[in-house]
Amino acid sequence: MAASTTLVIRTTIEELQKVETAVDEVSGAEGWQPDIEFKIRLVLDELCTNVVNYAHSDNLDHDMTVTIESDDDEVRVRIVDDGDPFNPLEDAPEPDTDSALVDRRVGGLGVHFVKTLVDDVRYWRDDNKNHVALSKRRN
Amino acid sequence: MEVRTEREDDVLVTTVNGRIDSATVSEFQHLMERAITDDIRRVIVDFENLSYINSAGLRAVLVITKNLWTRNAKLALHSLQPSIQEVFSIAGFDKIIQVCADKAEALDATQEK
Repeated sequence: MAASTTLVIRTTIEELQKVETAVDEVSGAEGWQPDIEFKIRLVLDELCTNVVNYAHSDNLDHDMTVTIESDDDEVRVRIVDDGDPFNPLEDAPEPDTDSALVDRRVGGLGVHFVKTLVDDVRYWRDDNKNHVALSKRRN
Repeated sequence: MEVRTEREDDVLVTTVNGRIDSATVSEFQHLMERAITDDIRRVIVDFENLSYINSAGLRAVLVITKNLWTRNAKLALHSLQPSIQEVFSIAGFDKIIQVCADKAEALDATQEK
């Protein structure tokens, strides 16, 4: 089987609910294991939340495009935004996963999850837009 | 998202149901901080019915744990779903926050030694 959905949303926290719904739909249609569904949900949440919170220095709402594709072998996700150039794979702060409790900083954890939980993730800038594409094998 | 709290002497026993995400994290942190009065020495959090948490949720858990630490009180989480346990490990939170199999273990882990 294969399923695909593309949605264009405004860059607000409220609109991220539509991404949630899209994950539910594709997961349901494709019969994702709960573990895969959780991880795709999390990496989409972290990447889209970063776009909503940080991508645009003009404080206006913009559109962003989210595509989710799935077949029997893998799940592929693409996120495109017209924000300031930002490569999350290189420009996000290094996560602090070792410091003692009192010194622990939490910046960069979202991107750390993305890098850790998917099999392949890449970034490029094209046509004044940020593109992030990732894939995760289902088995 | 729902937070239920119950006091047993100086222990706060809490249960979190649903999701801790960008939409609910402020309420989660507020409800926890309101329930953690100055006389609470130990906080036990049941995450069995927590279905989702993101990095914003982890940040809130860290803030709560740090605040308890500064006044020598302790916190333990228990009964995490496997995916959530994995996220805690990837974040390195299992090195700084007690993550236990069940409530009995969490109570034991926070016992004054």
